Amino acid sequence: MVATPEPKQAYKVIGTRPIRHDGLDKVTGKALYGADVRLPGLIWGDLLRSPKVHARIKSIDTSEAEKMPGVLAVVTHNDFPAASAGEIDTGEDVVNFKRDSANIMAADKVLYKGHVVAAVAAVDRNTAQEAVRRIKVEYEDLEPVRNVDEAMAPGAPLLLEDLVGDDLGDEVTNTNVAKHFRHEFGNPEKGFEESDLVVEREVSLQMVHQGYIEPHNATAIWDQEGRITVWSSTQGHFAVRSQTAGILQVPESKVKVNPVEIGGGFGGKTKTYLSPVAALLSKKSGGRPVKLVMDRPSVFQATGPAPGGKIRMKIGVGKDGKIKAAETVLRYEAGAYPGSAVGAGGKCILACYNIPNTRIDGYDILVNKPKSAAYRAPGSPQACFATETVIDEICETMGWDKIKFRLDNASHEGTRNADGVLFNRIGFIECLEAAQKSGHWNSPIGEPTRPGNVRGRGIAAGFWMNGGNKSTVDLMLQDDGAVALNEGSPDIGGTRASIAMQAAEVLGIPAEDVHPSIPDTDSIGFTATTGGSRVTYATGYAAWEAATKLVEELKNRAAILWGIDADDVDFSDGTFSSKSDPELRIGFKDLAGKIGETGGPVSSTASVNLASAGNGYAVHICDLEIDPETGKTDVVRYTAVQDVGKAIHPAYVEGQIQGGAVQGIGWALNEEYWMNKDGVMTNSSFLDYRMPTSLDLPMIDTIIVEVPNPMHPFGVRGVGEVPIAPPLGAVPNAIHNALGIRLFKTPMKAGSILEALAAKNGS
Amino acid sequence: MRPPPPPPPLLACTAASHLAFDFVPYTGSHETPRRFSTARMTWQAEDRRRNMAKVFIPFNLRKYADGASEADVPGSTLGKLIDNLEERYPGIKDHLVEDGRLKPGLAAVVGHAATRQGLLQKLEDDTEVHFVPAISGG
Repeated sequence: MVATPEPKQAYKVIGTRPIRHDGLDKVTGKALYGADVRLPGLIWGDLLRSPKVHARIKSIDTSEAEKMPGVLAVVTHNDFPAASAGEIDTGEDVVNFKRDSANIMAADKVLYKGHVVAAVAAVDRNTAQEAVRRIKVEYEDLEPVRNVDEAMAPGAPLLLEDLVGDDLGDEVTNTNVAKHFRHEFGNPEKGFEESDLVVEREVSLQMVHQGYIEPHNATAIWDQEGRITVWSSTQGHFAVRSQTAGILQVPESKVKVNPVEIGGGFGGKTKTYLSPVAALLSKKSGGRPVKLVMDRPSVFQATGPAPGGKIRMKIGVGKDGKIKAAETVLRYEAGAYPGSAVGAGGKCILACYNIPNTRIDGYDILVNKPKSAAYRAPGSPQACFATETVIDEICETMGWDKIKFRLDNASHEGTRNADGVLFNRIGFIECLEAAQKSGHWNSPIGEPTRPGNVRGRGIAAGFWMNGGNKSTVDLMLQDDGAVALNEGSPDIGGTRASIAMQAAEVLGIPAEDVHPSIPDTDSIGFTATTGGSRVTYATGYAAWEAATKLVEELKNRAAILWGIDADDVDFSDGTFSSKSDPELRIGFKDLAGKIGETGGPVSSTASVNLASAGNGYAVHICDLEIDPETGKTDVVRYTAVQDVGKAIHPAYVEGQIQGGAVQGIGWALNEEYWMNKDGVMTNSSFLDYRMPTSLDLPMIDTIIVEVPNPMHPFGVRGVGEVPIAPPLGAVPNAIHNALGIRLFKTPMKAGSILEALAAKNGS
Repeated sequence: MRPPPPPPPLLACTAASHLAFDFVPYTGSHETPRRFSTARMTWQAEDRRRNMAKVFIPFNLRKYADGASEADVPGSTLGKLIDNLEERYPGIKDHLVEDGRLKPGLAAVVGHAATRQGLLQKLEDDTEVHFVPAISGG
């Protein structure tokens, strides 16, 4: 279903659903993934990982491994160059190469189970694995820091003794708090005094993983001329280049990264773990190509999950149905090194509502867990859990309609977000209105499938700001009228199609006639990582600009062909024509066949660096059925409403919305890093880390709202991230509607429901 | 082909062709009015007018700004604005600029969008400027 509050443009390609350009290769197994890379002389690497959660490394003895036949190289942190200790802005991220280096191979301490301590390259994988087993490491055990409360407690063990924390602008030492920031506007205390109802709750969340199917991998060659060539599954091959160069202290121009297909990332493949190690092993092996592929436990234990933590939320409302004030404290687990998504959480947490008095405190906190990374709208789902749970409780307490209350307080153009920034044209109200009119919201919840079961309905809203940044697109016209398109954005969600379609729309040709490729870092202009829901917006913008340039050049060629002035040439619907002589007309393909005689090959390029824009909103409705005897919870109906600006390829937009919703439902109901008392993750397999599958859920219904983004030629907003946030509110609100209990901790699994029911019943 | 699209999405742009960007006027009733201008004028003319921007001082830096949360500060570019802010509140620049660039981890929002032009970002008269944590996505 598509709801369009503003008039649609008459597009011919945009809004259609062509088969994706890479579809056949992927469904027939021909697509090249990282683990498929085979090169002459290829050898295998393997990694020794720490069994300890927090320990000092007293010694590493690699002698037995080095003696093994077939072993070609052994690497420890001593083989890494001293990387820069300062924070560096790479143009798309802030990095600290010293810490990144210590994260991919421990220096003096191990900070989480699975932290890499040494690496081996050998003639085959078995030999490498056996050699790893022969490395002896002596540890001095240290007390683990398992959560934000322990990390902030007086006298807590320190993870990084040299950390200088930032506490509201003041430098702090001897701390596990890397950063404490605050946004404050208006007078929250006065706002609460003027409120007729104030609700304050604290929610807590466990770390969760993105759960991508394909493990991390990298193959690297460090050749005799000092050039490093990498093949890696990544969301951003330019980021792999900068991180590899920065950690190994070589110029970026010496590193070339080939993007291979990616089997899921969701933010987790924005970081580099293996490429620098594979490159170092290659160098020590005399330039042999070295391949590293993680196993599943390593992916769980030692890559970048979404942060857990605690959020305190306090909201005050008046009897007039208006929110008077909000105050919140977000404490996010950064993991072993600074850099959680708490900054983004702070930006998202009150973004749905127009609140005159706000205070947001955010804490980035070190704990003995893997360094967290981005996961689809990083920081926003946690924030949504806190905000939407309290909003629901306010509506229940006051007896207010849950959509009307949100409409009465909804952010829209001109509203100031709680970080102070004004919103431009946004579509939150349109999303709420679409939800209000939806068949789901206006249908009875239905009878339970079994006697004794109960059903409940929840609703929640979510926000993500969507990214811009740098993108490059090259177009090359072929003699047969097809157009080769090179883009710098790895395709993780169907963006070959969405970028090609935007070029095809301008060129007046079918999407199938645009042939997209994603070349290596030496063969396309810099393009930032595929993340932040930026690609269809920013790389699409570059495609539009490159296509517009191509049309202008083809107008010149038609003018040469006809012996007229280029200003006399018009272009519409794939046909060039003379404005003054109606007899002079030629189609795009026919002109392409004549470009040789009009001056030679025609190509164009466009590079953009776009401001972040196009804020995205979503509203989700969730129906659950719960068995009160077992706590088993099933989603029986689910609808996701989202403002996407303009759906370039509606099927892929629906897929993004459905995928995000499913991941959010899994986060709410099932998923967690189950840590034992020693801080060790004990469920590092897909058997024990329970993610929902298609058998667990009904079809996720989608309602696409199109409020055009005024910053984009076709009105595009980011799509992929917003939909993971609302389930963290919709699911607990549905549980409350069904059972009358509120759960303030993820996951809201069967045991938690039974415990809450027992507490409610006094048993 | 559809009508010409809007210019590149920077609120304050450097090329004259980019200044023709019209936003849908805000018609809300009770929120803070938008501060950014859609006036069409050359930057040379703006420089002569000595643009005045409204700077929102981040909470962490208010201690360097006599507790002020906002300040009207002149500057035709973000860099010049920060220099002028430093004149008024000595010491504040060190918390905004490092090695001639915005500090790593800091983003400047000009109007309603985080600028990608850094200190070179042109400022329109009456523009809002915010300094907020830089955000990257997943």
